[in-house]
Amino acid sequence: MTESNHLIDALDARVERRNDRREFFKSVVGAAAMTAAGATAMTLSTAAAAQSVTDADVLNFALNLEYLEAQFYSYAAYGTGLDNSLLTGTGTQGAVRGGTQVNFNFDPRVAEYAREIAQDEIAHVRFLRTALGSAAVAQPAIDVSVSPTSAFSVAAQAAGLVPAGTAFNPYSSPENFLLGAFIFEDVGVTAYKGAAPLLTSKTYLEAAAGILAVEAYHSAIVRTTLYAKGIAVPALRTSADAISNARDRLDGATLDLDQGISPLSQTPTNLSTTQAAVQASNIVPLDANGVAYSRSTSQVLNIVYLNGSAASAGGFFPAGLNGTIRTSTTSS
Amino acid sequence: MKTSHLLSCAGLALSCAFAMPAAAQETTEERPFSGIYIGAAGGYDVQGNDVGSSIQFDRNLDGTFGDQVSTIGGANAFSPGFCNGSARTAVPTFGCRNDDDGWAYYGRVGMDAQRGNIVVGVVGEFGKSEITDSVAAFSSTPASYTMARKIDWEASVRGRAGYAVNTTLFYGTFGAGYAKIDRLFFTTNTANAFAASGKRQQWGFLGGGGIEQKLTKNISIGMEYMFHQYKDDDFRVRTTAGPAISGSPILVANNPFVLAPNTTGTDFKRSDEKFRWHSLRATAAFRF
Amino acid sequence: MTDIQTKLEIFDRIATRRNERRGFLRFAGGGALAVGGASLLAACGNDDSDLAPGPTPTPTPAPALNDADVLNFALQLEYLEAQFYAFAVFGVGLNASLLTGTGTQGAVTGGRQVPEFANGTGDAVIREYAREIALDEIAHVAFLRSALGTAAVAQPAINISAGTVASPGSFTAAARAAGLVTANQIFDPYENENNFLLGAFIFEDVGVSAYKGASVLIANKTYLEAAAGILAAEAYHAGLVRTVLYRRGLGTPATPTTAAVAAVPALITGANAISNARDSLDGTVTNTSTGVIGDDDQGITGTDANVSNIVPTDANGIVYSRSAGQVLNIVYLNGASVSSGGFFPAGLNGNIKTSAANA
Repeated sequence: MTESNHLIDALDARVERRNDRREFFKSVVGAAAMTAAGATAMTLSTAAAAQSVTDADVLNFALNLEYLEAQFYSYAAYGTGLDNSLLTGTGTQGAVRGGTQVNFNFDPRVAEYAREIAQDEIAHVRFLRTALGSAAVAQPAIDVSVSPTSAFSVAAQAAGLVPAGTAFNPYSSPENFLLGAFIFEDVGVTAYKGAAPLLTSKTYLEAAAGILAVEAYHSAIVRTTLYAKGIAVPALRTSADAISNARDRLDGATLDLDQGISPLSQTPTNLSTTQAAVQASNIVPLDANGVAYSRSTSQVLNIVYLNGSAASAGGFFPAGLNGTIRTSTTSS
Repeated sequence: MKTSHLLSCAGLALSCAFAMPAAAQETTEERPFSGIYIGAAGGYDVQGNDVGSSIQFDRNLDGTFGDQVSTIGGANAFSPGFCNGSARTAVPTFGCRNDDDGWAYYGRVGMDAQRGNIVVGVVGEFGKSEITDSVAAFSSTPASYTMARKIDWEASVRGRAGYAVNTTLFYGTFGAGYAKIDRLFFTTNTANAFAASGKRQQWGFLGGGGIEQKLTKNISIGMEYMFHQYKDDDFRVRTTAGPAISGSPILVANNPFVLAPNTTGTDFKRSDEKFRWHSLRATAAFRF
Repeated sequence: MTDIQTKLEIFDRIATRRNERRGFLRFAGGGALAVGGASLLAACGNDDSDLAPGPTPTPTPAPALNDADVLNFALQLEYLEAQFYAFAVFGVGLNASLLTGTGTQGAVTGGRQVPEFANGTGDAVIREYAREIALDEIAHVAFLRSALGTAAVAQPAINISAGTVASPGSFTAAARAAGLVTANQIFDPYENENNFLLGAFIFEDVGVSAYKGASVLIANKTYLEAAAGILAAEAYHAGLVRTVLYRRGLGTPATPTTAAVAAVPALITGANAISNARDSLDGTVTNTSTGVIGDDDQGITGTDANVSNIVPTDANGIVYSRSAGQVLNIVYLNGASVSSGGFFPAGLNGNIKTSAANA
């Protein structure tokens, strides 16, 4: 069986699992309706979400993630957060524990990247809010701040970047900024890829594909810059690798959905002559077919909640996401 | 020979039959319609209009038909519809060929007993009708699928009862039939493989009536109407991914007949489970 | 009305119908076969041939494009990219087993290893990036071929050569259209790393817009997700190439730990010129998915040289789509509606092969 058959089977298996999950939840929700127990209904409210995910649910899930990215980059590039007019909506609006403007003096190029990425992410927030209209969720409570217990610090500690109990400050240098950005960008790519087949509207499918591409461009900027700087400062590459491994632990050990940037020895195949192994970078995290990975909404939540167990809040979203897709299951 | 005339073009045969003197002949026989006879019947069979016939599908091969065959996009693959004939092309635009009416020719052996004017008898018959009964389905690919049935042979054993006026007998007849039904399936679809199956011999019944007119002591001719109905619910065509596409994972994954999760194949069945037709024929018999 | 009368009426009706039928049949059959004679004669001759499907009076209209057509279109763009990178990085082309299929198989013209990649001089990371991208594109060819199986098209004739001044290859034609070189010069993407980066730049953003445009055409969810994954890969590649072009273009000032790196402005002006050329090729036709007229391509710098534009996005922060026709305008290096030219001298195989009418 070829790799691609494995891939197709894996994708099919995922679709099957999703369908099975929906079928299971449908029957469970049906039973819950019978019991008319309020508490049961609330616990199973996320089951109802999994039962029939609408386009609006998917776009709202994406909007929550875009709020997070836009706030981080806005603080990093400009020193301020988003205007409140961009933050209102359904659900519980929360405050952002923000950051500070990065000192880019030693690398004005990275300043340019930060501004460009910030503008893109703010544009994503605007676009999704416009598409959703009155169905858009408000920004939930977001933590992109710096303290020994902040989300960035917990993530960095889990990755071994800093010792336990120590703060990680993604705003303190261009390099730290790049590492902070690295935490998000690949997750955005895999999240949009996993969500694309869930959308029924072709218009929003194309838009999601377009945002997926932008997140990949962003991730390439971050990974390429870390990689290039890693020649002089190898710790940048190993730190990125460590963050990737931490993400892998959070979203489950069964599937390796994440890759670091350190170079790999690869033997080219399918050329007209046999080739020796060569060292190549790993800017682009792809499977053996050259295809990016997907994450389910639950796996994305495992990462942003910084919790491999079932949860509805935590990490970068201290009060959880707004909307129907907000609860993760224990990753495996 | 008059029988050869009778076995020629149906219209001519029937008009010939009608042209025979219908007036009763005087006879010296006491019971003109008794005894054993052999005979032949030939004529023209017509198939009813079969409005509303269609082909039904079983996607998950659970034996229950009426499933929808969906395209990869979720639409009904057979939205263009059905017709009660055989498809001319892959699209409904050019219509369907009407079901074929056809010739029929049989041999018979029978025995009658006459008491007074009442005649009762039993007759066994064997022969063939050229009748055809088709139904076609059109898919949005576009492609057409036609299921047709014909009679290979038909055997029947019937009773008959009638009222004789001198040498003219007016009778009704009813009995059991056993026929071998030929099935055909053809399609414009070259992507899938198709395998037909089903029991070909089926039971049915016949009923009708006619007039028999003795010409001489031994020879009689007549006209007869018969209605035939056979159970035909066993014909199945199973479609699977054919060699044209089985080498391409994406073509197989998108083929409506093997769409996940029911990837084994799809069964076709006619909605019309009874094969029925009407005969009008001329008869001739030789009594011993 | 009594029961007996009803029954008599029924019998009368039956007799009448029977007589009518007989009458009809007598009328039909009697006489000189003049009435309906032709059809009756035809009926006399009834046999099995009527069951055979009749000849199609008018050709059945060709079915709409399906998933296999879309993947075959993508496959041929991957053939082009993979061959370019394979030659530039490794000095050899794809294995013959990866090139067969339906349609007309063609050969690759041009392509050689970039000397700095061969002898290890030049920037080591550029070589590593080039290797990485090459391996990814080869994997894309293999993946799409396995998904299509026996429905995969063969690699058509591909021109990735610089050619000569008198007889320009596809890269020289593209560079001339972009104003990178004059009519008396050639552009050789294999000459050095910087030229290689500009050669790569020609393809990568086009791949992104092509896969985005195709995303709505794929009905099968499994393959849609896979196409999204290749879209992401092409976007990563494009981001990588654009970031490198920008950084090398501007150079890097000295830091406490690193030396200054000299600027190569030609990389930035060259990339921006190629972007403008792509814009002019795929026309002023309104992009139906975004509503954007004409400007669906962006250079790597913004309002001034110091403002980066690594990510070419519209006002919504979304990349642009190209239709298959517009993609072909670029790879055929022709704004008019044609079915061959540029990088595909014999055109594409399969059902998607004609560029849009944008000239």
